[in-house]
Amino acid sequence: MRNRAIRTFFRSKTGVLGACLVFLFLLAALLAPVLAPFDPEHQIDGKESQSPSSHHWLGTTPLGEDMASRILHGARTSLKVGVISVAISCLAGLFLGVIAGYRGGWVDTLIMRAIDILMAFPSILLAITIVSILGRSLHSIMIAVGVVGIPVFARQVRASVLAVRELEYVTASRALGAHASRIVLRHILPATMGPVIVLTSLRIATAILESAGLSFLGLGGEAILEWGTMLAENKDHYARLPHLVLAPGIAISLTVLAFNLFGDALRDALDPRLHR
Amino acid sequence: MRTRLLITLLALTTFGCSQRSDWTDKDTLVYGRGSDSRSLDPIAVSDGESIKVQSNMLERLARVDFDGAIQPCLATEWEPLGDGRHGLRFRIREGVTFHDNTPLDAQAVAFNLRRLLRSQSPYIDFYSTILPDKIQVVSNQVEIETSRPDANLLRHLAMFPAAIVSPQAVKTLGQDFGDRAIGTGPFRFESWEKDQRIVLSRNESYWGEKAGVSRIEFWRIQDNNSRIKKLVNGDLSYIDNPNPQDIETIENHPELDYQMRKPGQEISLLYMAMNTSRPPFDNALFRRAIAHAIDKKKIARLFQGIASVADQAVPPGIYGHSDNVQGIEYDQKKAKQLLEKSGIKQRSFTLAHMSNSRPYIRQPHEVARALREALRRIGLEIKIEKHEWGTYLPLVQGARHDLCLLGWTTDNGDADNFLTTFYSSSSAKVGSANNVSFYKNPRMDDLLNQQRNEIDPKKRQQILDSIYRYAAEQSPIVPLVYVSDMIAYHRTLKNVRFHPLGEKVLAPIRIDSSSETPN
Repeated sequence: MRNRAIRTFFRSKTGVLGACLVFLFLLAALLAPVLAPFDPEHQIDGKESQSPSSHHWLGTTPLGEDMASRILHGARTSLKVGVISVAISCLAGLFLGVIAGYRGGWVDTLIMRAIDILMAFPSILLAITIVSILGRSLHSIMIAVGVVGIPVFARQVRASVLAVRELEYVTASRALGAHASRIVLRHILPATMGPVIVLTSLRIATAILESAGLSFLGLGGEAILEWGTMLAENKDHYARLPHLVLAPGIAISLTVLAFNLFGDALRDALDPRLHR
Repeated sequence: MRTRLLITLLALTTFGCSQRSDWTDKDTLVYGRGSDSRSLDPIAVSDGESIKVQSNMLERLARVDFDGAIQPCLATEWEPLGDGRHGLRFRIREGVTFHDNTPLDAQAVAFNLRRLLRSQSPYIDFYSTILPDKIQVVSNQVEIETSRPDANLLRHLAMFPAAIVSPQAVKTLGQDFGDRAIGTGPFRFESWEKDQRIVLSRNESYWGEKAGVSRIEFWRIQDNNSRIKKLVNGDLSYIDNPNPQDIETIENHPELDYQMRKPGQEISLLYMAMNTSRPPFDNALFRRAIAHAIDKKKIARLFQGIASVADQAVPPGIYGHSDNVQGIEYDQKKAKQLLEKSGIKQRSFTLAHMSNSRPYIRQPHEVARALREALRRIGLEIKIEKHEWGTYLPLVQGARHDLCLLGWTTDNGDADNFLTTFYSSSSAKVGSANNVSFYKNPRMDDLLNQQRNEIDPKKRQQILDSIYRYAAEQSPIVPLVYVSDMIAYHRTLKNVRFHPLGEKVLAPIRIDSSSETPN
């Protein structure tokens, strides 16, 4: 089963491309302090508004900061935002989805109606509202994007739990007197992991995009090394120094594309219905 | 603040989707600007966004014309009081009515002057020589007596805080007067959707030459790029403070034109203020260390040709600017020495700035980041805080900042207007301060009084020079750059002229839709 999933994944060219790009993104994020040729905050005197060159691959900002170094460090922020916000969505979604699916009845109704209400709001508007309440900061953005993603996980997990709950081995375990928590942890959760893993990789892409959007609107706080913020900071220089806008724009697009390709291939590989 | 942010975003979205103005047909001047007004009551504000709307609705006893000369307005003539008394006697124009149809008379003028003197106006110091009990009405004349000779009295009465508004409206509207001020000007108030737009309509019973357009809409469009795009698209017909990099776009567009104040004639200053009411900014050595750390040339470069380095608080286009004064030079070594000498150990501070462009700054965040880096190099850690204009001014006027960015554009063309604003202790009242460094120094106050009382221009300039030198030594503010203000507009607008004081006098503008587009 596992080998077959791996084989299916590697047969997908777009999936492999996505995986490579994700790997590069992770590499850039984790090794940014080593890879970046300059301190991203350092304003180099006499090097303001430079075009891309061998010395400054992506040019410099009007303040003399090396854009390539800023992009590399921006990857760290994007990774942090992506991972933490999706962790929030995933953990809360797992918890709610399992309870709703396993307990059923009024608990299910209550949780799912709350999820429906959450889904009734356009995600970006809901995120803006949450950041407005919590105050402008990167942490607020992580929480906002995390909360916005909860319904997706909760619904997926609930559906998986409903499918597994009545299977024979679960019923047998229940008949043997196993405690609910044991049944959930040993039998139900593992069965939901496939879709959750796929969803996680796809949600990271959305989370990076949403957080960049919120930062672009200035909700991420001031002077942070984040791609959306860089877009906002440099947008007035688009005509004169287009690379300052293109660089963070392309970084966001490539990262989102990478996680989407990776997630799609992962879904194909892990979905048993596709292995016929 | 957070709710406001949300509302602003929603308002911007709505505006962006819905506005497509046919301003030519409607004979409407559609004006795009970075921020909304704070109040329309002249005694309640000091910010340009409020003044630019007020200046088209409210009038003063005298006004400064496009050539910089003081001309009669609601007063037809004036003369010294004589009889050993200091002050002026004004003859009030007859046949003028306020927008609420009540008549303008000498009583109404006296009411307004007394109201101003009782107010918390940030400008109150400019009128400190006027004796409130000696404002007298004699027939159709008003006598304004001062405690001592005041060479600038007429100039100050021609400034916006001394606008004459309808006494009846003040009494009827009470606190709401600031939302719909009623004056005698060529335009009258029509509506105000907060954080979105203010609409004025032509005063058809105006006493002078009627306004060239029937309506003005002041739209708040915070983003500089959006403003220029809307001008290019034809959604707006007039904008202020476009980015310098947009000059090329305007020049290449056959339907657009722009005006920019020439270098050496700037009337706006961008400065960084240090809150001296908070330690360690009460330490002059520490303040000077900060002043030495800042590379003003670098700041000027961020303005891409529309700013020059400021060596004193008064811009070159202002009477009283000195060519004999050298400002604090950029010297990081000296800055570090002074920092050490000051004995201050605290290293972490905040720098507040506004989120929108102003006549004296186009990219506030970029300037703030340049300052942060400059101060980082001498070992100070600066956290940048960005605020919307509506909350920013109350914050800095309320002394709730360490360092802040602010600017000043002249109200009357004289150095005193800048110096009183920045250095006078009477301008440092928490809550309504223009002096946002809250700097109070009896010696400085004395020097300021001396220059105000001195009639001889040469002697006055000597006093001004000594103020500039003392101000550099004390450094409650760091003058950063002098900035050229700019406007851009459609060529169908005729009679667009730059006012010498930067005021937006829009009444002469008319729309000529028949004019051909130049190639």
